[in-house]
Order: sequence, then C-alpha cells, then structure tokens
Amino acid sequence: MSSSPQARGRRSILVWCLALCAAMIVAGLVIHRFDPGWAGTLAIMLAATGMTIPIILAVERSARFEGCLSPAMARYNRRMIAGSLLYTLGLFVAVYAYKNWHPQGALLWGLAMLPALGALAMVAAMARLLVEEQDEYLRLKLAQSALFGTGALLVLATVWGFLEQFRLVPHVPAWAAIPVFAIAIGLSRCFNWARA
Amino acid sequence: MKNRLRLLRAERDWSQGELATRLGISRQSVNAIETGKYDPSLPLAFRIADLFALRIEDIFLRDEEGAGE
Repeated sequence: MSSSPQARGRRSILVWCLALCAAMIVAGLVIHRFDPGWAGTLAIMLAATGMTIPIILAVERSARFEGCLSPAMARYNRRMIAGSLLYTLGLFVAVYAYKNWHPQGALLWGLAMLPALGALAMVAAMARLLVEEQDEYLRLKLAQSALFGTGALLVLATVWGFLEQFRLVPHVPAWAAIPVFAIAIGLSRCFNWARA
Repeated sequence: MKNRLRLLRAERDWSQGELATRLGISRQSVNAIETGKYDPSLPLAFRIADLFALRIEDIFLRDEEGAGE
C-alpha cells in the first residue's frame, strides 16, 4: 500500500507523539518504583524530554512536504527544543533543591522561578516566530492559532475557576496555563491540517 | 477575491513550488492564493504582478467578474 509523503509525514508525527507519551509513562514508573537517585532521575527525565526532538524533526519533515517550512519555523523549532530541555533541567534542580536543602528567603524565590525560565523561553520562541515569519499567509495562520489558544485558555480558566470556587473540581496550579495554551494551539493546527 | 494565478502559472509550466520560490513565499501560500482561501497583501500582489509583467487587476478580479478561463 503506497501513501503520499504528506500522509507518511503526519503518520510519523503521530507515532513519535505516542512514543513520547509511552516514554513519559515508563519514565514515571521507573522513577517511582526503583528510585534511581538524583542523577538517574535527571538522566531519565532528560531522555524522556529528548523524545520531543524526533517529534519536532518529524514535524519539520512533514512541513517541508506540505510546503510550509520557513527559516523562521526552523529557528522556532530549535528554540523550542532548547526551551523544553531548559524547563526539564530547571524543574528538576528546583524540586531537588527544595526537597533536600530546604532553602528559605531569596534563594527559595529564585528556585521557584527556575522552572519558569524554560517555559518563558518557549513563550519567547512563540513571540519571535510571529515577528520573524516573513511569509504573510503562514504568519496569519500562526496568529489565528495563537488567538484560538488564548481564547481556549480564557474560557477554560474562567469555567474551571468558578467550578473550583464551588468545590466541584480540584485546584489546578496556575502554571498549567502554558500546557493548556500549547495543547489548544496544537488542536487548532490539527484542525487546519484536517481542513486542508 | 478570484484570480488567474493558476492559469498564469500553467501557461509558464511552473509548479506551485517553483512559483513560491520565485515569489519568496511558501508553496502553501501559493496554494491558498490560487484556491481563493487567502487574499494577498498589496505588496505581495505587486510582487506577483511584477513577476508576470501584468497589472494587479489583470490577475486579481472582483468576485462579480469571475476567474475567466
């Protein structure tokens, strides 16, 4: 059975996304059951996060076949890889230091901000992409996806906030805003793909 | 807005990718313009017109005019 390069590209992205989910679950189970120590835990977390690299490369291959891979998008992908690795590293260091050294005062403030640095780097990468993208049609699609993500986040946060107020749902930490925004953008792009 | 881009491209035997390279845009953008999903900005419309050595109104048509051939 033969299929188009576009279809193969999309299938490859799906396979790598499923592999990432499986890697995250296995990493969580291994850390929880075998306690591999801080160095082992860091290595497992970085390896699991590293699975985003083949996903991004698969997305690039697919975008090339679809005719929408621009230099700005390639730079964005590299920045997102760096941001996700920085986030994982920052999160691990902050949690480890908090549990083992019990920091106080300014050091605690600094540690608490550490995981946010990687996440903020990813937000900055999104902003740079909108600024650097020279192709006006691709920029429009990016802006539409970002608006959809923002709208979805506002709706979900508002509805969840009131449900939480009445103790109908559990508390969700505010940092969940970024993954929710990213998932909404991803859904928007999937919807665009399906329409195309 | 309708346009004659596909026809003009076919006359020169250019693929969408080739036209995209000549215009410095993505193939997806060329496809979106040709199929009427996206109306280009004025600067891009001028670049397209310059490439085909035509006036903008010879390529992009008002809806009531139709896409011609």
